[in-house]
Amino acid sequence: MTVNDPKSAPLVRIRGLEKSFGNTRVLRGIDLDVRKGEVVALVGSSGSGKTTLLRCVNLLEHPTAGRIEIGGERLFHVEAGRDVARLPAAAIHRMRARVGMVFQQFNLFPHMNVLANVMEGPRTVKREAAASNRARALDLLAKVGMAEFADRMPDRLSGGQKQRVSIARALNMQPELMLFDEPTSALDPELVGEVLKTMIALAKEGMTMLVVTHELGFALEVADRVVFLDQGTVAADGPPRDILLDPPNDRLKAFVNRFHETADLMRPLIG
Amino acid sequence: MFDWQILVANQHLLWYGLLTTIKYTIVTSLAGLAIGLLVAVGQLSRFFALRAAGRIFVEFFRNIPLLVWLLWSYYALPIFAGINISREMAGVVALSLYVASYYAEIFRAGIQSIDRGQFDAARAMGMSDGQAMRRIILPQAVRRMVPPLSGQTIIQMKNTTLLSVITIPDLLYQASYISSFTYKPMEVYTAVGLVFLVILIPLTWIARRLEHRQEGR
Amino acid sequence: MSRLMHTLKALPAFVAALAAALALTVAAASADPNATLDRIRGAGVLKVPVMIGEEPGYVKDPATGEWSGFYVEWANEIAEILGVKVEPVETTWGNLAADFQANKVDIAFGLNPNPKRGLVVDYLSVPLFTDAWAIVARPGFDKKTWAELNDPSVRLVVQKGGTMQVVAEALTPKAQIIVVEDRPLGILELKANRADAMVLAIFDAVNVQPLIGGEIILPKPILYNPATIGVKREDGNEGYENWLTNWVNQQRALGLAQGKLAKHFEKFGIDLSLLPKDFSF
Repeated sequence: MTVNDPKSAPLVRIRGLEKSFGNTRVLRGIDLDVRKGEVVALVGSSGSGKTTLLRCVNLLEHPTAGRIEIGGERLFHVEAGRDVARLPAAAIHRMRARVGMVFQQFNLFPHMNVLANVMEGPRTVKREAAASNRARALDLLAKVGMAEFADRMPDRLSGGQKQRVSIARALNMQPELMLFDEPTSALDPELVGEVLKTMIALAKEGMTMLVVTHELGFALEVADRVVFLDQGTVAADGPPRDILLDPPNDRLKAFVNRFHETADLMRPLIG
Repeated sequence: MFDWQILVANQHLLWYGLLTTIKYTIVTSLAGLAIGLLVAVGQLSRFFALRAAGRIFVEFFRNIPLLVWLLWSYYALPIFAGINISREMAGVVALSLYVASYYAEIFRAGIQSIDRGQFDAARAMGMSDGQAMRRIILPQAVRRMVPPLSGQTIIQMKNTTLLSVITIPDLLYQASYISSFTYKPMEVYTAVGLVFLVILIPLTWIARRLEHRQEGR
Repeated sequence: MSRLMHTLKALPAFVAALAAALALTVAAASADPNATLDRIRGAGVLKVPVMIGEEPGYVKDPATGEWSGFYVEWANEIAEILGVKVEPVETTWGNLAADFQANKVDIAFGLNPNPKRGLVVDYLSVPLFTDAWAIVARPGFDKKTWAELNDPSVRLVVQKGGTMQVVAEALTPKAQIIVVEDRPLGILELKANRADAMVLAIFDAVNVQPLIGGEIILPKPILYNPATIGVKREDGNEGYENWLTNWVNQQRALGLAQGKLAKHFEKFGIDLSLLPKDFSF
């Protein structure tokens, strides 16, 4: 879990992000930095806005106000109701190609087999030649332990298997940043471990990861930073040991109560 | 009692009528599918003008009787705009636009029935809306749409019988014609009914099999 | 005075002059009675409606699809004199008014003057032949007057969109009036004993009677029904109408119209002796 030189610019920089759905203000001014190679765990209770925040990073949701920069490029900037920087669609797509996303519901494409799923991104978005695409795809499938399932259809896989394939699918785009939206929340408990193992390996390789999760054990042992979201604002942001073992406020304290259970589960998995 | 002889004697007229019916069914269904897909995609667009246009198109054609629309298509252009339009052109245009509105609703419902997560995953990879539609959404949606689309096409074959009102020589026109000089409408209309049954029952059966296969997945 | 004032003063005179010129043009347009004739001759074709189910007026050959019949023959004769060709335009009685409005046909034969259609169609004032309203009754039914027919126990069949429907609704409103799409379906109603009689023009009645076996009755008082020619109501059709009227008068004076009808009915195997003695067309 390496952290880059603190003086270099962060890979992701978010300032004053706001998002409302109709009359409901979900995000009320978020400031967040993610440095290259950092693993940031985004925690909070439901409705705190953590999934919305994650989806704003690659503009799957369109924020109401604020600023987002990725890799120094201004992605989104609305101030006082005025659109300061509106990216054309093609530029947004290019940016998304550099950011991988893994979903709670896996979202594998059911009409293609596993290998085709993994190859789809580079094939269609980057128009990459089949040979190199395929070689890398098989490599990634092997890394997540799904090589023998290459020609299987997604509906034949277990939840944990699907999620590992979806991680390989996102990685095949060779992203600079990986977003995880509660990647294990939809899994049976006995399948959670295989996915967390994959994510830990990824983190060890130095991938920049922003992970929305309920797995506080993972946050404690794997994350470089934990950001606690409460009612649309950042209520706490710091190293896991500080945030989770010594919660700075009551709400966080209540939220963290589960930590002890999951940390014990986590220990054997971490190398 | 039943004079089958007149059917045999005039079978060439019936064959010709059947051919015409099938021709119009195929042509207007294909045109309708293409137009319907455009209208459906328009209804899902982010531009209000396209959504509104699509909605108006669908509401108009689903609420107007086909016969009224057909006669209007054939006579309105000459009467109001002085443009003479052949009955064949009027028949094709009227039937195609009409069925397009039904196809459009099937397409729209089919596309919207695809889990939103599919679209999320496609967009998150950097696909444009067009790429997402082409590679991810439509291939899945089309599978689901085949049963209702084939059902609608079967209905379309029955709709073509209205063409006889503007004297296009389809199967029903031939029935009226043959009965006009044989004065044996019972025999003729029975034969026409049987022809439709013989063609459509197997097609309906196939369509239902497709539906079951779809649900099995 | 300034230039503006000069112009303004001249304005009323200018407007009046313009209006007068326009009036002259309009008047001139409607004053040219040859407009329709010129249009038809210029186009080189006389567009004539043809229909199935109207033998022997219109006959479509099942093998070749070619049209014949006495209406078509009259159309050919008229076209020949005009120096144009006949262009058959297939349609139905119900669509005929729309065909005129849409300029799809130039002339129509065998029309019974009908005030509502008269808004779109000009009828010649002379009949091509005289029809009468008759009924073909099922065997055993023998009411002979319109008054007797105007009774709730009487079931009459009429063809949709035809003048016979208008006649039945006007003369026998108390009777049960059954409306059918075409003639063969009407015959079925009689055969199935769901109707007592079918209201038809006398010539269609002689066509239909052999299939039913009952009698042809001309209900009293006999309602004569002029069948004439119709043309589109438009400015400049006076010459066309007048010319057609002359042609019709000549046809009748020379007995040509009646002769043609007799010939066609005979060729079709229709027995004109079935006509009641007190009827002449």
